[in-house]
Amino acid sequence: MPNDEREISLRDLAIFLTALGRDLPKYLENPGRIHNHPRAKVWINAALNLGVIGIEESRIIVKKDSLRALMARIREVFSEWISSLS
Amino acid sequence: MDILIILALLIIVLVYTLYRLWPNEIAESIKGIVFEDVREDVLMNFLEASRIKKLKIERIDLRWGGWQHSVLEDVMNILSGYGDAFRYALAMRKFYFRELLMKIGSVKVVRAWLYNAIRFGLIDITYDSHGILCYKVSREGLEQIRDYILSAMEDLL
Repeated sequence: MPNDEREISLRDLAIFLTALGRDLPKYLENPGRIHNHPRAKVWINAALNLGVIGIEESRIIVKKDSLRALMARIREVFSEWISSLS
Repeated sequence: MDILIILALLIIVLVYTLYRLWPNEIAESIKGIVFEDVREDVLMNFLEASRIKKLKIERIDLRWGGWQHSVLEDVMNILSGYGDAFRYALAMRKFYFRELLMKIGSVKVVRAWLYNAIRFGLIDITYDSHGILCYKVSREGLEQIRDYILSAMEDLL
């Protein structure tokens, strides 16, 4: 099995990308609304695990740089997987 | 006396043979009642149901078309759900149904994962040297999924 556990959690990524549904970009533009979503708690946990948000005085701060870093990590992990196929 | 017994036996055999050859009207009439008012297409479905058919899987063209048309839920489910089927498949690269079943432990889950993974192009159907059906993780499919996820994330920036 590929050794990617330390690099990325597919479960957290799946929750981060899907738990808030197709309105995720709108929620990230206005993070204050996230708390009202029924799956907010799960999403916040996953996003914190991935390091793409921070919480300051119960306010959610979206870290765009961390999101970029996460994308780079995803690219790396997929590259490893793809190269393991050849 | 012996001749009488033999004659009686012969008559019994003859009568029984005639009885067996006589058309079974009751059976015929029951068959008529059962199928009389049934439509042709229903009868055909009834016949088709017992046949083993090859499941047709329609491929989904995985191109990012914005969040409102996203199928990320399905894509991420293939990667992280179904009892980690993706990880096992990736480790094996090429595998038989039974091999994945041994890891996952549920025919239903393996079948559902394979169906969706084939639909999204992650898994290719192939055959081994003996003509036995097996499955292969598709390099192109994995690249498409990577691009799809990254495109979705780019829209979040």
